[in-house]
Amino acid sequence: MHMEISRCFPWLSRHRRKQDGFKTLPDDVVMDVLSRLEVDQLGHAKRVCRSWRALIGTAHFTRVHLQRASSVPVISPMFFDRKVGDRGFLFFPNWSSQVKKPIRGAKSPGFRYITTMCIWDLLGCCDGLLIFSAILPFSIYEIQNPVTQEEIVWEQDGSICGFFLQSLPNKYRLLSYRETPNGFLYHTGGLWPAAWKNVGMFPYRPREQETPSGVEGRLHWMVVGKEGMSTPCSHSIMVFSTRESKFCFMPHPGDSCPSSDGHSNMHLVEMKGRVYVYAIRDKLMLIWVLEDYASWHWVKKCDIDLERDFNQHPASESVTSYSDYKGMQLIDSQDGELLLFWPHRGFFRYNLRSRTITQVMLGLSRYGMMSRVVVAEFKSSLVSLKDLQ
Amino acid sequence: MSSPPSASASSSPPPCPKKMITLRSSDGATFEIEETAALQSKTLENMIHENCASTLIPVPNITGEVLARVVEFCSKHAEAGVDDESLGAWDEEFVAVDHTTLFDYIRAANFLEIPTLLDLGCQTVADMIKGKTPDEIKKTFKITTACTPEEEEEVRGENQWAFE
Repeated sequence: MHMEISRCFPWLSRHRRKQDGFKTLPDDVVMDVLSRLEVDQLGHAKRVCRSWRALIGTAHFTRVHLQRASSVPVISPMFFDRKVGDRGFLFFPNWSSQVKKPIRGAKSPGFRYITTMCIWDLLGCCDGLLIFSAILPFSIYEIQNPVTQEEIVWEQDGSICGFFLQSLPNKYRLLSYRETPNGFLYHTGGLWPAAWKNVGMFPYRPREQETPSGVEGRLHWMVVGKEGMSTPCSHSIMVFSTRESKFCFMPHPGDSCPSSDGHSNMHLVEMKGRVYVYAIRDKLMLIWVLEDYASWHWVKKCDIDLERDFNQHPASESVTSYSDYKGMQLIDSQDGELLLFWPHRGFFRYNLRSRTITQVMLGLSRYGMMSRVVVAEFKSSLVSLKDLQ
Repeated sequence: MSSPPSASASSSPPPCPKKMITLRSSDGATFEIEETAALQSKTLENMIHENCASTLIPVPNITGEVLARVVEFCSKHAEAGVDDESLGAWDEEFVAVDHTTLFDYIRAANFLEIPTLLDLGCQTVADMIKGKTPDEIKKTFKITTACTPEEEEEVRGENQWAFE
C-alpha cells in the first residue's frame, strides 16, 4: 500500500529508504535471519532492540536455531594421574587454527557443590546440553549448558548411559541401567518428575567412559557383559531407538575377532552426523562408516597404516611394539583430514590423501600426560534447562 | 550413417513451445516468465495449477522494479544445473544491492515462497550482522527502537555467555 503513496509523494519513498528494513519483514522471516547467527552473535542481537530480544527468547527460536547449528566434537581429557577434586575442563578442536581454546563456560561441573569429593566424567551431549557423572562418593549427575551457564546437579541410583530428546512428547529423557543378578535392567525417565519406565533386561551394558553415538534418534554403544566380559561379536553393538524405546544388539563391522582379543580395541565414534567404527589391529587403524541403518550396512572407509605413516614423526621414537598404537582414538573428520589422539603423545591431524600427519599443539602439557579422551558431539545452543521439565 | 535427405521442411517435429506465464506487478507492469522458472515459486505453482485457463497472474504485493529482478532470479535458477558453480557467483552479484532492495527481495521471496531466494537473502543479511556490535547493527539497519536503559542492564546481566 505504501508503494502507491510513495508514487504520489516521491519524497516519502526517500524517507522509506531511511527506515528500518526489519520492520517490513514478518516475524518468522526475522527469525530465519537471526537463527543463522552463532550464539555469541546472538548475545549482541539481543541488545539491538526489544523485538529481536523477544524473538530470540522464544522456545521456537531455540529449536530453529538448533536445527541450523553444526556440531563439533567436545573433548574431555583424562589425565594419567587423576586426582579427586581435579578441576576438569573441556575443549573443542578448531581446525582453522592451531590454538584450541577451552570452552570457558564449561567449568568443572558442580563446582558450586561437592567438587572436592568427586571425579567427573563426561557422559554425553544432547542439543548443546552436556551431561556428566561423578562416581565418588555416590552417583551424582550434572547437566549443564555452557552457553546459557545453567546447570543442575542431582543424585540418583543406577548408571546413566544415555541422554536424548524423545520426540513424542518433546521431552528430554535419561536412559539408565542397574545391575541385577539376572542381568542389566534398563529404564528411561525424566528429571522432574522422575517417573522411570522399565525398557528391558539384557545381559550387556555400555563400556565405561565411552559416550554413545547418537544419530537419527538412535543411540549406539559398544557393550560388555557382566564383570566386563567380552560379548560375542554378533552382539557387540547395542542400539537404542529413542522413538520406540527399544533395544537391539548388532554385530560390529569387519571380521569376527579372535576370542582372546575380543573387540576391546574397537570403538564407536560419531562424526558429522554419522556413526563410525574404528579398530586398531596390529599396526593398522581400520575405519568403517554406517551407510544404511535399516540394512545394517557398513562401508570400509580406509585403513591407516599407523607404523608407516607415523614413523616419520618424532612422537614414534618411543614406539617399541604395536601395542603402543592400541589406545589411539579417532575424534573428528573434516575436509579429508582426521583428528586423532595418541595417548601420552598428543593430538594429530592425518591427511587421508597425502597420508601425512601434523601434530596439534594444545598448550595443555602443564596438566600432565593425557591417557585418553572422552568425546561427544556438541552444538552451541540456547536450550534452557527449564525445558528438562 | 547418413539420414535420407528430407523432402519437406517439416520432416522433424517442431520444438515444443515453452509455456509462458505473465505476471502483473502492483504498479501494472507485466513480465513474462517461463512456466518452468515460475515453478521456483510455490505460490505461483499453486496459482498455475488452480488457474489453468488464464496465464496472467496478478502479484499485488510486489512492484515492477522488484518483480523484474525476481523473474530474472527464477529464470536463471531454472536454467542452471544443480551443481553449476557459476551460479554461486551470479547469486553473490544478485544480492550486492542496497539494503532496501535486499529487503524487497526477501519480502518478495517470502510472499512468492521462493526458498532459494529467501535463503540467499536471509543469509546475506545474517552475514551483514555477523561480527558487529549492537550499536553497529542498529546503525547499519537503521533500527531505532532501542531498549530502555533498564532493559539494557537486564540484557547485559543475562549475557555472561561463555563464547565471547
